Amino acid sequence: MKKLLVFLIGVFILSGCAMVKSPLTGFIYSDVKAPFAVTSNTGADRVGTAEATSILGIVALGDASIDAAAKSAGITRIHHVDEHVNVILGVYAKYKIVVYGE
Amino acid sequence: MVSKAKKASILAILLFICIFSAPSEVSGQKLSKYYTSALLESGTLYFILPLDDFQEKETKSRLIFDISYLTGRDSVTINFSYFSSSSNPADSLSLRSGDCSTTCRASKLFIDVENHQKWHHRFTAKLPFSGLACFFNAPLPPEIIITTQDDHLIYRVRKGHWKKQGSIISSIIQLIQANS
Repeated sequence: MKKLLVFLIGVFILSGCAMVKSPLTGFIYSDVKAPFAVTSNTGADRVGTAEATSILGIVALGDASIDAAAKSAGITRIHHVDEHVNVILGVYAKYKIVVYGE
Repeated sequence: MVSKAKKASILAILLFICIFSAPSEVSGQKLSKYYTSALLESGTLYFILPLDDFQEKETKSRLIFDISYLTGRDSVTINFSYFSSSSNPADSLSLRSGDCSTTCRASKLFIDVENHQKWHHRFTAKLPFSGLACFFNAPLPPEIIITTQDDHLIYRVRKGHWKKQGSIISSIIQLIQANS
């Protein structure tokens, strides 16, 4: 009983380490795409991405800004923006911004 | 008190979840990990997420590139990043594999400096969709060549990596063709 309790607490603590904002929560594994923003601009033929990662909630690095994503594809008129969240056991978390535009 | 049988069954359930939620590289269902698509007024915009398996032999620097394709068009857009000790911009991008060879003009998006000796070059190029399909259908590992004013940077991919990556991108290209 004690070992099981320790195991469950351990899993809970780990899963709460590397967290990233997401519309849904996956306890063990999370791979979610969601809308982030929409503009009134029409047309898109380019896509740009930018991402930031976190390890164990201790170190978090990256530039997941819309500006960085747009710049990476030379986008000057943004059509819409999606976000992509990937979390594995609370150990590794990745937050990606995907910008569509022209 | 939790019996041993209960503990075993809890562990078995957790193991089952881990196995079936773990990312599998060969599973057809996981193809969606490598691309996104968006339905727009002018067609469907496909985006193959950045690939970084190509490496320059001497400097070991990686080439990172992504691919965008809007259905109904003849060309695809490749945005690529390479890292060099020189600030000289790229003139062209060539994809070579077996009988297929495609060269296109590279246009600058931006050049950034990471440290005193490493320049980050971000460029874009348009090339025919048929050329891209031919490149990724190649059975043998292909080459990507970036030509600058004073140098040719040749990027190659390991055979094992290509076997996996080539078949994934080739499947995405087939999917795009089937939906066009």
